[in-house]
Amino acid sequence: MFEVTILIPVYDNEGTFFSADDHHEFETRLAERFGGFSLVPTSVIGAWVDGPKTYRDDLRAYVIALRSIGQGGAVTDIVQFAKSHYRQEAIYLRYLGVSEII
Amino acid sequence: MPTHLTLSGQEIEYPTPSPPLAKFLKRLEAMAEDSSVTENELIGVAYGSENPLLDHSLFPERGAVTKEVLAHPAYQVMTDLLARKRVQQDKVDITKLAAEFTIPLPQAAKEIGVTPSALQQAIWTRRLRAWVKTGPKGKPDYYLKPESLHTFGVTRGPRKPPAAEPLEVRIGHSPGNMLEIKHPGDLDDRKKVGHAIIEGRIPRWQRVAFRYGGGKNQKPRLAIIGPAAEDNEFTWGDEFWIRGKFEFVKRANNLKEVADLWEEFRPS
Repeated sequence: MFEVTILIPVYDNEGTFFSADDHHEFETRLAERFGGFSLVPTSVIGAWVDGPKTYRDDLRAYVIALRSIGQGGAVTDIVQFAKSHYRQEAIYLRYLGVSEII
Repeated sequence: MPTHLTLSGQEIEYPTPSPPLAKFLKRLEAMAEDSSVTENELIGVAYGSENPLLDHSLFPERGAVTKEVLAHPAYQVMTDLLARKRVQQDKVDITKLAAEFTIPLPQAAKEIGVTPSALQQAIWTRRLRAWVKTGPKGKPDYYLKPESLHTFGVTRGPRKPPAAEPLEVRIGHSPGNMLEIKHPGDLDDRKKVGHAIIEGRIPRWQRVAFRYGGGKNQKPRLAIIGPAAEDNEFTWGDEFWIRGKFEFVKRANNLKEVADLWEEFRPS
């Protein structure tokens, strides 16, 4: 068993706050695919620059538990969903001491 | 039954909690109201090992939200308290958020040809976002976002849509190109055919949306498709395609419209 942390933005790229209802659909998928999830305190706050525009990156950290690396495909699926759902070009992941941006 | 009023003005009614859960919710409410408590501190407690609402078998030191927990109204209360903390911490302008919900429920129902109770059901099951506001006659009512009506999955009228045959798709990302799809269920015969490209079949569907574009500097476009009698094919670049009996129900290329439709679309 190992844990994967998925960092999800608190605001969209226009600065609009994601509501509890916005997170509900993502959380439903996490619970269905991985049996459950937790949210942990995070200090990850930053920014990224795309041309002339700087985007604020204020994040919440979801944690899921995987039984084996064989569930990696399910993680990729949930990240693809998160990218669409939260209108992001990339999502940040942490697992087994590795950080990855997908 | 205890009730809780959410940020968007909706009342959550939940069964009388056990004494430990009632005590814990009171503690969270007090933390949410206390401006000296940070969001991180609230998250630490709300998802910690002391929360009697959560599952404690999945993580050694934290509580887990399972499907059963998600379905419990008290979890909705908990997530609303977290949202309230964020609003308090960042001084989020709630009136600006509420201003996006402009269409009263009866008018929305009329516009898309469904009963008001069908929309109410969708709101109560969190399939449709709404905000409770006081209407011109002083009566509170649900208000909806106009763009959410475009993709709300209610069949209009008595006509049954044609049965859909499976769709064959090749989707994903390649340098300079992408085709993403929102479809119900999982892909059958899914296989990876490139670094970030997969092929598969959507066995059962009625409405599917896909978004395509040429990478970061080209605006994404969107299409919503439905079943049809004739074969059709959509190709994008050299790598991506959708094949099957379908027709275009809606297409969009305005950046905001694409983003809103994609966000609101629920595949069926």
